[in-house]
Amino acid sequence: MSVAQIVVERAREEGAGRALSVTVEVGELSGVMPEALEFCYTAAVMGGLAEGSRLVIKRIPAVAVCGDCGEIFAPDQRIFVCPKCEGFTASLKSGEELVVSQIEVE
Amino acid sequence: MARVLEIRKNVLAKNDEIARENREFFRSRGLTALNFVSSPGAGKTSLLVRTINDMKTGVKFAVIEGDQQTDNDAKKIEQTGAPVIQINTVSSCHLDADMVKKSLGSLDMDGAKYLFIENVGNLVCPASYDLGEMMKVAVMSVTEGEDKPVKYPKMFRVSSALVITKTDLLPYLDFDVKMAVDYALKVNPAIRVFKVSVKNGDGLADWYKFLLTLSDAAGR
Repeated sequence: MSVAQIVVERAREEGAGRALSVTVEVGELSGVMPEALEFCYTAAVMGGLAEGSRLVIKRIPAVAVCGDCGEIFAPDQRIFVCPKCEGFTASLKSGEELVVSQIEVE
Repeated sequence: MARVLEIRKNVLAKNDEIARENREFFRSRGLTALNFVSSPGAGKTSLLVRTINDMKTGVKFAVIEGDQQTDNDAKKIEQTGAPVIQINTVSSCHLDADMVKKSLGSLDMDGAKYLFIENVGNLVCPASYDLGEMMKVAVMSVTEGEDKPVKYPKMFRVSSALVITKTDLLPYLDFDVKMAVDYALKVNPAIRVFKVSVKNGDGLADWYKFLLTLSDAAGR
């Protein structure tokens, strides 16, 4: 629903009549299932200026950086153990996104 | 003519904005607002009821209860004498910042030191929704699997404290407390762990001490 709202608000601001496609970035660890998002999208945009628009989902890989040694690695789920120094202090650089990145309108 | 608009707008931005307002509101009142999260049946309500009853002399509490349906939990809280408001999320599996904001107007928080927000029993979605709380407190009972923290890592990563409940049942179970704590520390090395029994009172003193340090930090 929030995706649809953002699209409609922005398209209106721009005086666009209709949204053709919507690109959403979904991080691997965002907890959002692309299949579920696609399924809901069709219903969420129904009746608005984004009805019938194409949803493009861009998967963003999870990247973590170790707080101890600075190693950058792809974490295994949410257990951010540094593969190099085995430290537990890594933080996520990306992978939690749920962002509407662009829309194509006319 | 078709054209492309760059947006880069976080889908949860609206929620986060309202959560910031809530946080500012809590801060200005010196309120310690805690968001309790767990699976259904972990013992959140019982923990809150016992905590309020044990600490209420001279300390005021207010409670927001989130459930999909019924006001059963609110009724239990009501018996402690603390002001409580029930939010029924109906089709939603979590509380969001706006639901909390809207309920604040009808909740008597005069002189309250603590606001306990009991989220809907669910370890997935509530992890993504900031309500403006000072911290999330995860609750997990010993009748669950020790590996809950690694099965639902996001929740345990965004929580600052973990209360392991129903420890009075340990003699009858194979639950390995150390294993559960190790799993929690693995996903969140900074998480504070408390092991309590609401039934016999074991471990509650440490939990209460922790609550007192939080409200000192909140400025009253």
